[in-house]
Amino acid sequence: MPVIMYREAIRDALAEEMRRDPRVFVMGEDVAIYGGAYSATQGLVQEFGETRVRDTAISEMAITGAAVGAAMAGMRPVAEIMYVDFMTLAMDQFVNQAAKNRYMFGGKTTVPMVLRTEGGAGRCIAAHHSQSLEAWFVHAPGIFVVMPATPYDAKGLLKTCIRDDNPILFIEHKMLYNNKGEVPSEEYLIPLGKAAVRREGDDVTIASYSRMALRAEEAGKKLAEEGISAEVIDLRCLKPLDIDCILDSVKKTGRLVLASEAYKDGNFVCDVAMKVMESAFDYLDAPIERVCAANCPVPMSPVLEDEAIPRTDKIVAAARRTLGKA
Amino acid sequence: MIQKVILPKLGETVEVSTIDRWIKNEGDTVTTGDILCEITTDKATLEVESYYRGTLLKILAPPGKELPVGSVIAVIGEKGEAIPEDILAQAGGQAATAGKEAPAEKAAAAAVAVAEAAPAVAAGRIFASPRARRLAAELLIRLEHVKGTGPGGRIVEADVEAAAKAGRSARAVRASPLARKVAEREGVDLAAVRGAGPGGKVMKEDVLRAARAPAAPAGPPVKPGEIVPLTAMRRIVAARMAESKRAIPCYYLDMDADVTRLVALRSELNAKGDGRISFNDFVVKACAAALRAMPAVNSRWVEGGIQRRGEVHVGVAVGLEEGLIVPVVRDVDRKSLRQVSAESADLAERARSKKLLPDEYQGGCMTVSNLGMFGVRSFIAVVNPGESTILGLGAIEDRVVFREGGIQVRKIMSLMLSADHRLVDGAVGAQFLKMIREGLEAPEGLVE
Repeated sequence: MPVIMYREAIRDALAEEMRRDPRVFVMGEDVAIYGGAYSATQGLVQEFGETRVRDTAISEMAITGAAVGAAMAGMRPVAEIMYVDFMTLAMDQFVNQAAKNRYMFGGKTTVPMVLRTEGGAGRCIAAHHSQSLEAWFVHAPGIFVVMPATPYDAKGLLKTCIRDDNPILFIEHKMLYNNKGEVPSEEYLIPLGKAAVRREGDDVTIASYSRMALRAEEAGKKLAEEGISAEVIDLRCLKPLDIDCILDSVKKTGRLVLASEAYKDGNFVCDVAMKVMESAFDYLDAPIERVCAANCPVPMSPVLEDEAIPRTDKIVAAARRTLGKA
Repeated sequence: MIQKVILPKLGETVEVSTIDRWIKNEGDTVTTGDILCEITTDKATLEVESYYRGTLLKILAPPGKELPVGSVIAVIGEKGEAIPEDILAQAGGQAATAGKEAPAEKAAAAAVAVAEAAPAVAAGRIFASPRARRLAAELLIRLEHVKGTGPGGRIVEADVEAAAKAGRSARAVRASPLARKVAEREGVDLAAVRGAGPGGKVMKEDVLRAARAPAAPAGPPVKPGEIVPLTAMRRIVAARMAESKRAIPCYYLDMDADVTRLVALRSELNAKGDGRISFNDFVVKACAAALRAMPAVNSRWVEGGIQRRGEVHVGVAVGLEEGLIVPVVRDVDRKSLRQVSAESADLAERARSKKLLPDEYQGGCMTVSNLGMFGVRSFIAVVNPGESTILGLGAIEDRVVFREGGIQVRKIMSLMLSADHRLVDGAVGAQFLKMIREGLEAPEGLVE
């Protein structure tokens, strides 16, 4: 099976969907000639031309608003916001227009658009370029939020998102772009709302997403060395959420650790924990643990950035705490 | 009226107990069934119920002091009633002689029943994870009796599982006195009844509901490969039998008794009087006579030597669904056959309904065990530790024997005597068994 990079998987998904459906087009800052800030759209303008691969002004509001309009007019735009940190400038267009127009127009319109963006820390590019803001968008009814961690998931999920008629925020992770993984050359789709169990176990469930999902897998391996059997779940989609996968696991293990790269306060995983408590309270043998980023702007100093963002050892420690081990 | 609250003997081998904590305080009004205090034996934490109604006038035993069972631990009476001097003095004497503080216990390992109360419990608040609570409810385990090993002393699932493994005792089930009576009457196992009363207490309605339920197996159905937790009884039987085989050097004597006359006499006696005399009753009387006649056999191996027993108590093994218990008929040599029979029947009945007092299943000089009703021809029984011998009886069969120069059909019962060779040498054992056989073959002599 071919082994390709996360960013190549994304590019391939875009290319395949653009070949398949002429209504699909790409727009964003530096997506055309430059090939994308993280090279995710490399080669597309050469194949599809400047009409379908459009460089935009540096205006997230314009990019998003134009995508909303194009989608309502019958196109299937895949717009890119270079850093999720800049989604702030696109909020009204995305959260109030894209998310709500179908509802507010009584179903007379749909907004089939994908907003691709990326977030996460690890490059020491500081507070405005390193955040994880998915919680804000899960909180908006009307949009889906997808966060793949592997090349395989990125391609399969992006294709599904492009074919879906809902406005979807597709959040990539800047530290994953060059990660390699097996990706079939034959076409495949991954349905929305299905988590992936990366490792089966009996003692504790560790659920997370995006880059943290990879750290959770590492944590699972470390825990196995000391005889703790962790079940590791990669959520892949925050909305729709595969809550059943988590519940089945918690009912089995009785213990849950949730890991997320977003700030601790108001983190998306708090909602997951609450859902678990609502449905599986009697199955919990220990309080649910969350491993999140510190409640401070992401530091630029490498040492501080490493401390602020959840590391594997912190996930391991949380898992051990659920088992009553210091 | 002044009533003494005695430290009960809540366990077959229990000699001392420690008051863990007083639930009722001096001055509290108490009624029958109220839990007065919790006590810890060497094996379990159990509750002491009040048998009396009134005011708890005085607590005579503080928590933490190890006392012999039978000690007076409190006095119940009318508010303001004076407590007799002799009771106070007796209590004072107890406390003085008892002396030693109870040793700190580790979490129950090889013990009977459930583990001791979690030390972190304050003002009745128990910290247990939801999963632990669920499991405890399912297994009918009281969280008060589970030691928590989670953070801050929280009870977690593993702790409840450990408590379940340590076994359950019907005594540890909280039930109203009325519920216990009804359970006995209806033949309901209290340990299997889910209580809907306060704090999970089993009330009369719960017992009646369980009695009306379609006959369920004694516990949850056992899956193949599943390890079933030991009951208190099973644990004790296992320990005693293993100890017997390990420590007692036994030999076995086989004799057949001609019980033709005995069978006839028994029918005669049962036709005449009320009450049903059983074959065992005759055997018990025969054994008692032999024990009286041969003090060497009526003895016990103790540290320091051989103790001759002055009294003659004979136990009769009773099989129960979950195990075995041996109620003891005391002073058989001083009782008539009918008396022995009535007592035996009553003891067996109460053994089945788990209402035997410790006095009634301890202290035997020998045991009689009968498996004849199952068609067993003969069998070798296991000597109960503390006794010198055990007699195993087989089925009464019509057999062809050669008697007085000719062939006859006689009723024959196998007698198999197991004897502790430390106490009873071969020749002595043989004489003993011969005496029993002769007693059974001349049964009229056993009636008085």
